[in-house]
Amino acid sequence: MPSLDARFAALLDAHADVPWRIARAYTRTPADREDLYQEMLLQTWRALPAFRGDSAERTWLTRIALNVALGAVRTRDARPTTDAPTAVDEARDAAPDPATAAAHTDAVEQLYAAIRRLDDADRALVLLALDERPHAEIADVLGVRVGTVAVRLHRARARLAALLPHLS
Amino acid sequence: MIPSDPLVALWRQSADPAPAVDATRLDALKDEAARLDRTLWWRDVREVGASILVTLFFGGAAAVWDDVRAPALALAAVGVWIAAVMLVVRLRTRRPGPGVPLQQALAAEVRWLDAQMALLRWAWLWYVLPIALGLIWFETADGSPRRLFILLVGAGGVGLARLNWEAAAAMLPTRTAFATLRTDLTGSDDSDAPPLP
Repeated sequence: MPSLDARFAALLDAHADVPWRIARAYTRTPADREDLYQEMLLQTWRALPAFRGDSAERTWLTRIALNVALGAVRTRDARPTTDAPTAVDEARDAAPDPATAAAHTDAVEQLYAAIRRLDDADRALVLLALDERPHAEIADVLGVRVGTVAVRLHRARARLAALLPHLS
Repeated sequence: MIPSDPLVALWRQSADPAPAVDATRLDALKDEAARLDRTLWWRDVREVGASILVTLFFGGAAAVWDDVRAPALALAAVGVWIAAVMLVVRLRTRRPGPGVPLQQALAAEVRWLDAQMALLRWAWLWYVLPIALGLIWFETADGSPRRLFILLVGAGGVGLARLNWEAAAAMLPTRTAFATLRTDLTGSDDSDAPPLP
């Protein structure tokens, strides 16, 4: 049986993008994002000893990230309604052509900005759908029926598309 | 979303690597987890410990002073009662770990907030009144009226009850937000919500 440190490291090596991206969708500034990500890691660390593999690791980590994000947003009464750039510069540095990169990062930022304008339920659904999770897994993460996911996702996707007419 | 969806394509391309979890960060996490555990432990000790102190003090007084034995025993019992109420509510509304489905976590959070608000709203009945009546009985057991003491205990009790009531009111927006989100996830009906125990 690997140590807790090793399990934690392996979990995040494979799936750290999950809490990191969810943190971005639920915060407005890089500092807030980092704080929320840290809280997600903390709760994951505390919960890991009790994790028996009842669900896939990625599903479990997604649940933690969403629960922490929604809890933090609610209890701080700081639900974001406006938007500010977060990783524009990082992404711009990584792209080969400045003009293409700027357009790309602008599009990514617009996508995140639109996601942040959705209500919390739609935001959670859209994040999971963009991550191409099957409906069954989305239902498992959220604790709702698969049929409910299909109906709600259809509406959430329409709302997102309406916010991004030029991208959809 | 369908695979050809342009938003999915954009999402795929928006790689944004998470910060590495190195040894330094892991150590900081462990420290933070230990600090949080200590904070929670001391919170429990404070809440229940104060009641136990009341029980020990007045239990001792009942053993030593014959003339106030009855009110002292009553106050000792009040201490046990208060500790028992807090422990029972804590155990009945224990939150699940963070790895449960969102609906389940929200249901538990709403249940916990409901219990906390009920405790605070009714603090005058299960907490303030028994202590106030017990103290007044204890102080007047020798037959003296002690009007000023009664006035002070009464005023303190009203102030305490009011503070608790305001604390419950402050929790209401959070409770409403969690309940609304729970409903939003399932649509107009509540059929997906897990049953409350």
